Amino acid sequence: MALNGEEEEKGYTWEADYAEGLNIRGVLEEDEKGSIEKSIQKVIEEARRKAHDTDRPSKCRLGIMRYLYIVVDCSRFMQDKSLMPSRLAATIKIVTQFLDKFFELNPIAQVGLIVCKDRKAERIVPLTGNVRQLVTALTSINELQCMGDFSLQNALRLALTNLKDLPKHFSREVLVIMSSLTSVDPGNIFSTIENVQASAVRCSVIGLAAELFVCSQLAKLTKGKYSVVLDSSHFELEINSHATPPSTGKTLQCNAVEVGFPKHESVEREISCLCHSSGPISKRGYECPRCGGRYCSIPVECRVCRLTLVAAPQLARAFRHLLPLPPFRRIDANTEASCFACHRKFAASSSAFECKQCAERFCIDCDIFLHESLYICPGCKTDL
Amino acid sequence: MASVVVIIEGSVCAWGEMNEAHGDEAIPEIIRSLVAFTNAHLSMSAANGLLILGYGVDTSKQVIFDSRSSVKGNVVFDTSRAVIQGIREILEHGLNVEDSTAHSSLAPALAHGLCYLNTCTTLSEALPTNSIATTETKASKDNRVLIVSMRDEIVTEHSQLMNLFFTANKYGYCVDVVALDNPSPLLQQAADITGGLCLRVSKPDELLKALMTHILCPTSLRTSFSSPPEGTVDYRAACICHNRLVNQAWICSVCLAIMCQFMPICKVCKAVFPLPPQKPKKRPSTAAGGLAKKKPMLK
Repeated sequence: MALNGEEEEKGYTWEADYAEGLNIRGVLEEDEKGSIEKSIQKVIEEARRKAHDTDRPSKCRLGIMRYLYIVVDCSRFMQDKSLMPSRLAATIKIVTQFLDKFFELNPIAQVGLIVCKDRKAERIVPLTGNVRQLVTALTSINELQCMGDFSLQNALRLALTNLKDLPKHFSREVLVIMSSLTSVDPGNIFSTIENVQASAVRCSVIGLAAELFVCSQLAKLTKGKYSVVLDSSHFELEINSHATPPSTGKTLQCNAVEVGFPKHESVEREISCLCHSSGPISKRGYECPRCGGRYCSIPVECRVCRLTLVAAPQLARAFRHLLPLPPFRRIDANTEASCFACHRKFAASSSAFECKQCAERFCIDCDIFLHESLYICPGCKTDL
Repeated sequence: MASVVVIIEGSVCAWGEMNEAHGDEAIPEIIRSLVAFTNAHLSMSAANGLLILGYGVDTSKQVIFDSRSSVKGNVVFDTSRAVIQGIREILEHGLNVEDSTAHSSLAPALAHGLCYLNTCTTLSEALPTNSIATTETKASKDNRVLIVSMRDEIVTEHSQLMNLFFTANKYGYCVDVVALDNPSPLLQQAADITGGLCLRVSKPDELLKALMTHILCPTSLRTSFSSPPEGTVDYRAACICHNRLVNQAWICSVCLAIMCQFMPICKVCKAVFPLPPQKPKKRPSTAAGGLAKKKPMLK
């Protein structure tokens, strides 16, 4: 197959189609040195800005009570060094960060961990609200253990058996972190996907390699989200989008759940807590208000009477998804004026942000801080 | 470099109650203590920042003193005039408000303070002189908030305040509380969440002592001082139906509203709940707490 000069520049016809289908040419542009790092950064910034500018849905039903299984691919492809220092190390680091953020946003959620190596799926942590347990289990995985192939079907089956008997009012989700480009399955994967779909479990996939049809189909049918990461900061962005509770519509059953609010108190008789039967004995702890079981940290489900123990602040925290702060109006800054919150003069040719309610003006730093963390405008009166 | 945001109660009723409970000398004493404390903080280092806010009925008049914008060129170590004038203005403004249901709102003031601290941190990070990373992280941890409260109740804004406290904790800002009355459970929780102190000062003339011994030093040095006793932190929540503190409750799975007894329809989001599965257990609920009596036998 001989190519003349013109055709060589364009490349093969099939190549062009391929690039268009993936929208690579539009998104990833090489700079003068042939690096695509800058355009990746641009993609990430764009996504952040988009999340910032859109009105968050207010008063829609969010699945605040969540059960999530994280499936980590531990096949030999995880040793690949496309993410530094290796895919596995990057995944462990990013998932650990994600867990912190997840529990901060979903105080009464529970997370379990499944690893899949050599075609076998194994549940290494059952559903728990304890971050420490998850992080210890996660960090114990090392690259030597990564071997064999990945099996999406086995992982999904295991997650499904663990999730399907849970009460319907919880949002039940699976998040697969998949590094392999193949899935070695014992049967027809699409029948498993149908089962998952029938039991209303939401499956999302984060691919570390390239886009796969089976994953996009899985995410599409189960109302999940499928994304392929470009680099580690994009990975972080993608996984953090799973931390905010998904809106569920009317499919989710409502229910009233009984909970207890234990006091954090000092106790005279020193007994070890139920969560660490041989662990250190502390002088402060939480006592289940129904059965008197002792715990060193909450949230936890009482092992004796199955009452969910939470602290009132943790519940209050979840409220704010229902009342987000509306975005501010972007206006040109007056260099004479200063930011309402931090009292710094606006820099020339920057833009200020004006609250639509109280018309106070804020600088960009404060605007981001208010919308991403505080969810309240310092100038407005609060009424609830 | 440490920045402190002092947030002072600005409700007229609270200051009046102080006057009634402790005599005419109470108000001058409190103001003197606050001035002495804030001056002491400013004198410790020229790089120290200070913002004094009042939380009153009107949110537009919050700022009493700001060490960054009050001076042009020369540093001022005296906050006395600003504090006296600022508190007077806030109280006078509070008197003119005719709406008797209006209450002082802490959440906007706290949000304001946190924004201020946030920019203090970014500013100090941008300074080329503090380039060493270790001192950097320490310095940002010394930014803190002091809430001077005089009433034991905060009726509304519960969820906003909680979110603010958690955010403060996330960014490493500690929230100290000095209460001239019994501290409200909410502020106790605030100190507990953010790793600050919650002090109860029974008399106005003890205020300065408490501020100087426990609050003035940065959080990293606090272990060197005798610490006030750790009490029980009340983590109970108030139910939406009777606004009563409960230690066992039902919560709506959609909006997380807290109900002190089972209701078939959520008051807040109008979600309809199926009846609980254990029907036989529901019946004795008319004889209040039949369930609660039986269960403690397990102990």
